[in-house]
Amino acid sequence: MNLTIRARNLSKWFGQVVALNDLTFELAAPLIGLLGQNGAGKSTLLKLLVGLLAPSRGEVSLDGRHPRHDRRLRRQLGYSPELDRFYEDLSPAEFLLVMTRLHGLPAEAARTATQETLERVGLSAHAQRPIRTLSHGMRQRLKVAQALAHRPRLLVLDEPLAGLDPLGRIELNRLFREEAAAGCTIWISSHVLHELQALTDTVLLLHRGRLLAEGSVRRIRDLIDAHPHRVAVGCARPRELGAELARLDHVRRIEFTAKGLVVETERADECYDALGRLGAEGTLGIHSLDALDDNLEAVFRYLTQ
Amino acid sequence: MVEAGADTGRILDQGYRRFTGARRPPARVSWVIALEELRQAWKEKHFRRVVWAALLPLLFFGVLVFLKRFMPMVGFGGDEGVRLFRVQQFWSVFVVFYVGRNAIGEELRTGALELIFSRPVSFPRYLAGKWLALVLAVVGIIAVPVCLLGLFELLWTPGSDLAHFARLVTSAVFASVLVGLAQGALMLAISALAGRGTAAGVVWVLLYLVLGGAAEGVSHATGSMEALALSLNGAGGGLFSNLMGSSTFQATVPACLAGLVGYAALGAGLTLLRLRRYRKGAS
Repeated sequence: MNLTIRARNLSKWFGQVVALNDLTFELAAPLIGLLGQNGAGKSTLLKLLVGLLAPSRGEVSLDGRHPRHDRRLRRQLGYSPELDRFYEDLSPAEFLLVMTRLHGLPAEAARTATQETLERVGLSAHAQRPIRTLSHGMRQRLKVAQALAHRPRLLVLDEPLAGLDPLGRIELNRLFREEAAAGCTIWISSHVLHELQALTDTVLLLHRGRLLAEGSVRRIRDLIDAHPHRVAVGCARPRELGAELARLDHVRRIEFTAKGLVVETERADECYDALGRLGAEGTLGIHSLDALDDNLEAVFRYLTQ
Repeated sequence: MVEAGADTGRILDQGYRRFTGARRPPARVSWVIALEELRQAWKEKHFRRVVWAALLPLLFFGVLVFLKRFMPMVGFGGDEGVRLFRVQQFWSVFVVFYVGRNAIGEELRTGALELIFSRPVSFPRYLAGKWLALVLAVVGIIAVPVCLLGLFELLWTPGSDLAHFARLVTSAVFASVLVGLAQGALMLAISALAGRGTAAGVVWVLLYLVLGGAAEGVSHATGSMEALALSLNGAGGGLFSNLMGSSTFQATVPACLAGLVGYAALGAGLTLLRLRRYRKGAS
C-alpha cells in the first residue's frame, strides 16, 4: 500500500525568495517523478516531504501525518540529498552502519542491513575504502544506499541519477522499480526528462515554484488543448490515407514522410478511432501508430512555453 | 487523486525483508552519535598522541606516591590528586580540540546535517550526542588518571583509607563532568559558528588562554579570588580543590559552579540558536 502524500496550499520562502508557491496535490503511486528546471523548487519540496524544512504556509502530510514533528513517521522515511559530501574519512560500511543505527536499529540488525544494502547497490567490493576515494558514481550509489538501508516506506531521492554512467543508471533504475514493486513509495526528482520517463508515468511538474501539472504524462498531454497531438502513421499508401484523414474536421495538418505520414489533430481520441477504423478495413496498409509528443519532454515544453 | 498506474509492478523475491524488529529508544541515538564522534577522533594519530602524552603526568605522580611510601616528605603534602587534576585540565584543552573542532561546523558546511536530520533525530538529541562525546573525552582524560592515582595512594600510602579514595573518585568525576560540559559546550558553539574545523580549533585554544589570562588579571586587580572562576581552568580546578578540602588559593564552590554552568549554558544556547537557524532553512 503506497503512502498518500497530500499538500495543501504548500508554500515555502526563504527571505524574499519564494521557492514554492501555493502547491496543492494528492498523490498515491509507487513511483512519482518530480520534474522541473533548476530552481523550480524540487529540492525544497523534497525537504518538506521528509520534514527537513517547515512550510512557510500550508501543510504537507503523509497518510495524514506530518513528517516535521512525527518521529515514528520519520523512521519510515529515507532521504537522499542532492549533495554528495559525506564523512570523507569513513568507509561506506562504517557510514551506512552509523546512518542505519540513527534510525534506531540494533547493532546486529544494522550490520546485516548494511551488508545487504551495499550488495544491492553494488558497493560490496568497495565497502572498506574511505569515501573520499570513491568515484562520483559510487558516491551516488552510496547516497541511495544510506536512504535505503533501514528499509523505508517512503524513499525520497533528489537527483539520484545525476552523473551516473549508463550501466549505473540501469542498475539503480532496476533497484528503484524493485523497491516500488515491494511496496515502497518512491519520489524521484530530476531535470532530465528521459530519466524520469524511463522510470515512471506519474509525474509532478514544477516551474518557478508553482505546480504546473500532476498525474500521468498521457493524461496531462490530453489536457493540453493549445497544442495539437502529433501521430506518426506507418502505412503502405500514405496519399490515400492522407485524403481520408483530410476529411476529418479535427485534423489540422498532414505531413508525408518516408514511411508514411504524420498527422496533427486537436482531438487525439477521435483521430485514433478513425485510424483504427481505417486500419481495420485493411485497404491502406496501416502497420504502425506512434504518438510523437505524448511524452514528458513535449508535455514539459508545452507547459513551460 | 492519482492512483497507481496500470498494475505493471511485480514483487521479486531478493531475499530482502523489511526490518520489523524492535527499535532502540530515541535516547540511544545520542550514544550512537557520541561513540561515533570518539571513534573518528581516535582515528587521528595526533589525537592518539595527545591521549598517550596525557598519561605521562599520571606516571610522574604515581612514582611520587610510590616513593612517599619510603620517603614521606616527597610530594605535595597530600595534594597530589588536586595537582594532577589541574595538569590534566591542560590536556583536556587538546582533547576537546581534536574531538570537538569538526563536531558541528563541518557537518553544517558540507550539508551532512541533512542526512542526520532526515532521520528521527531531534536537535536536542543530536546536540546531546556531540556534547556527550566531549564530556566522555574530558572525563576520560581528567577523572580516570586522578582516580588511578587515588587507587595507587590507597594501595601504597600507609594510613590511606577507603573513605578518602571514595571522596576523591566522586569529586573527580563530578568536577570533570562539569568541566567537560563547559568546555564541550563552548567548543560546540565555536564549531557551529566558525564552520571550519581548523578555525574552530584555533579559536577554542585562544579563547581558553584569553579566559585564563583575563581571570587572573581581574583577580589580581580586584583582589577577589572569585574572579578566578571566570576561567575554565580556574573554575574546574577550584571546584575540585574545594571538594577535596585543599587549601590552595581558589574561588569558592558557588563561584566555580556558576562559572562552569554559565559557560555550559552559554555554549549550548549558542549552538541551539545556530542549529535552529539552520533548520529554518537559513544555512
